[in-house]
Amino acid sequence: MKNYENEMKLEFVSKASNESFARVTVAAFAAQLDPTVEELADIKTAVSEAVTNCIIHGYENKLGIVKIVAKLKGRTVEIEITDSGKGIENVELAKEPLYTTKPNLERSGMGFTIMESFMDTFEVESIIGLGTKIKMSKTVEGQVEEEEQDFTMVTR
Amino acid sequence: MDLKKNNEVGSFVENLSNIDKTSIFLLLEMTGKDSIMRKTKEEESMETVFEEKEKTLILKIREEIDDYKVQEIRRKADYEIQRYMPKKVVFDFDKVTFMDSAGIGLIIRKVQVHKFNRSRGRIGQFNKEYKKNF
Ligand SMILES: Nc1ncnc2c1ncn2[C@@H]1O[C@H](COP(=O)(O)OP(=O)(O)OP(=O)(O)O)[C@@H](O)[C@H]1O
Ligand SMILES: [Mg+2]
Repeated sequence: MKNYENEMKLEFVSKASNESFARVTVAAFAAQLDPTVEELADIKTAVSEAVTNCIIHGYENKLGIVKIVAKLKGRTVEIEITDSGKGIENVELAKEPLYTTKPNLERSGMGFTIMESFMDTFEVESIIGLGTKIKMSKTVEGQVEEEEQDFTMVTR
Repeated sequence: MDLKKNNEVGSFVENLSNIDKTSIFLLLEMTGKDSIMRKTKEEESMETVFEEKEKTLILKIREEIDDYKVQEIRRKADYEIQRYMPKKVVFDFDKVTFMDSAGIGLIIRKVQVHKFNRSRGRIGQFNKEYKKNF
């Protein structure tokens, strides 16, 4: 199996239309480790949650910059997602499943819970008025080499 | 959606800030200002089938459900439900390739709304990749 040392940075304006671009970009970068479809889906979902939070909570739909740094170290992908928005008052409370400050927007309050359970490590750093940084990482097992291909999927 | 672009609708929304969204879309339809609904087939995030006999509305959601797409899906679902007044609503997730908590929010909310309206909401067919979210 291959081992890489690699790094990338991404900055974009906090528009909801960039959510898909952001998660697909990080997933494409992480794909260098040959993760399984499942592992890649976990990474995509965690990135989507963090980026959405920056846009709707950090900047509350005002324009700001969302920054993503991703690193590949061995078989581990490390991801940092940062906004310079309003920050989180009580991080422990915010991490509770089903906790949301925007229930009227049909949020489920599951974002942090999903990041925590889909990634191996997960940390939140936040300062009121300065912004929020999410650090998370996942070690991927990757695809077993010369795995038998399942062609039945194609003719579904 | 920028309701504020249209002054009439904008003030209606402001005056009745607690009103259910479906009423707003009914209004949009009545006044013929439903241009947000008109999109070409390929751009649509959802396909709808209404089975007249069983009064069942099937909403086949396509591709990705994130915070961005969910706004369009929700808008369209509210509109179709108001239009057909179904007894049963089925959300078909078979063609969904990606979903995050925005999708969970959509389901929770829709099930609540239908309980309230005394029709039955059912979550049909999950793409197996996304089953584990639940
Ligand atoms: N980047 C951020 N800036 C400011 N506040 C945040 C940020 N991220 C999360 N929060 C706060 O933490 C709460 C919990 O976040 P979480 O993602 O778990 O739920 P949610 O975004 O409210 O709902 P969901 O993710 O299910 O749509 C949010 O309601 C918000 O108050
Ligand atoms: Mg969230």
